[in-house]
Amino acid sequence: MSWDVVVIGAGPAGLAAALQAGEFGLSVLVLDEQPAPGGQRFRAIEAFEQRCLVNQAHLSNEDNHGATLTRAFRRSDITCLSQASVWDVSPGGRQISYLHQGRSYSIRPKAIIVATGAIERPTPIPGWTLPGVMTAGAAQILLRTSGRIPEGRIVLLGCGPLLLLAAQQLRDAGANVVALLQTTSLADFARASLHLPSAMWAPKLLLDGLKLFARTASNRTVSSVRGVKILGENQVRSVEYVAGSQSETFDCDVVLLHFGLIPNIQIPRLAGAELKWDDELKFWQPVTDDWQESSIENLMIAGDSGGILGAEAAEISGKLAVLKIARRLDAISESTLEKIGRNLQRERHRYAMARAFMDAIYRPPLDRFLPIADTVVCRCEEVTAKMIEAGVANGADGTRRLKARVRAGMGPCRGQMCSMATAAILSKKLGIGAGDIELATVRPPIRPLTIGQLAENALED
Amino acid sequence: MSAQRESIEIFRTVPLCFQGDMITAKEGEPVAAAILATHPDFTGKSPVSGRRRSPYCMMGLCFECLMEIDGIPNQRACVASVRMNMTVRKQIGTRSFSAGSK
Repeated sequence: MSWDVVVIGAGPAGLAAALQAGEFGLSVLVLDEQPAPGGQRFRAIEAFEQRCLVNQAHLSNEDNHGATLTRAFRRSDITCLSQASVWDVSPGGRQISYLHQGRSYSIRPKAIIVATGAIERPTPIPGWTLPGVMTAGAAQILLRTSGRIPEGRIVLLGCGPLLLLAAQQLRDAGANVVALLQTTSLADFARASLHLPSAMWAPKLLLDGLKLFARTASNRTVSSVRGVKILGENQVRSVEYVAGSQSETFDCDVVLLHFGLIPNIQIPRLAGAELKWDDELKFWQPVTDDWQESSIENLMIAGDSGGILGAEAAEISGKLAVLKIARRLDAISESTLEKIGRNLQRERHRYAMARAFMDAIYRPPLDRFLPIADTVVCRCEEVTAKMIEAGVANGADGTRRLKARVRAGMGPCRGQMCSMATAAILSKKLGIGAGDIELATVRPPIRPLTIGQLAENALED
Repeated sequence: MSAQRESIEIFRTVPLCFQGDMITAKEGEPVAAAILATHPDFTGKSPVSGRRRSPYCMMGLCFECLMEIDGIPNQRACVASVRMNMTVRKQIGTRSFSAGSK
């Protein structure tokens, strides 16, 4: 049997898409890499809700919503494979290959909805490979999945709403947060104020953001931070930074980095979907139409993997992504498509308007954080900024040639951690826009796969 | 790493063998979380320089937490969930060809 739709990812976008497709009577398979549905926003939400219940702790409205969404999904008859890792989507998006319980399978669904969410923008700074350095998101995941908090003195560093949220959650859980170092400055707020009128379209979002900002502001918060170095030999010992004209050092055991989110576009890139560079937000995103369809027919992109709009908007784009598929399979009429579709498109637009305000405040400080000298850029192959610059001097004019010359992006992460920074260095050295830098090809398998698993791959039609 | 605030634990604790020592882990939590809690120093070494590394992203992207789990090398310990009686080893540099035949 061939599935009508395969949804990749069980976060807010994937769950909303799967439920919507199920409602239309389509056969749906959800492939999710995590052990339980919820994505990163609602990571391990079922266990978290249970922990809150037995400890009589308060579940936030957002988490409550996530728990409800996940429950609806569990109660539906949609097939969901947890801990299923998609290792390939063929060019043109016709075939998905994934690993599940040690075996590899290939399937050919009628349509694919990519809902792989966002990743934290990897930002190389001196010392970021030391044990004790993690992303702020990683700390949130630890807290959610196992109720653990990093031991010792914690410094949070970077920018973005998620950094503030992580600081708040860690403090609430009893973590020893000694400092919150923000790259955000007053100038960012001034620039953002131009977007304030449009942010009024989503007052709740705006209010939540301001509340969070007020709650995390304390004497341990430093703004306009630059010139950051993480110091230590085998382990984090301290963080050095410049604020104003002062250079300061904070002794600490753990550094949590966060420089905003970027779309996770590995699968659209594998499939060969057209991308566009957003020069304001400084990231690549797949080109999609009003119905979330990529440049490849029946390959839809929903949620943050199609552009960072947050969890609420992800549910909307998830539902939207199903409509054209349902229409083509004759599961809904043209008038249903138009009626539901236009409403969802309006709602999505509202979130996009509000997002512009936040994006303006938390613009990634990439010009001040361009890696130089001995800073490791490619963690897998330990390629430094200096080595990349030498590669450019030797004629590498894109990330593909750079990979061949200096091995940046050659390791197991497939360039996921270094490609943005590598492109930024190329852009600076070559004097061309980051959007004009040629990206290296993403090749399968994008997840570890043994020869044996490949040889025994089962093709299901 | 420790849960500093007193709370009722919902996870069942299970034994896990790490580097030949028995540690206590929570069933269902990421293997990387259990290892970090008891061995926060490092979980592996870079195949290039031999410098110490430990889990970075906890969501399957960075491959910094590659470990040998139940005899199979190159497993992302942040994606694997703790089950009863697992055996986990640090991966120092690249995987060895003698480790695991699966």
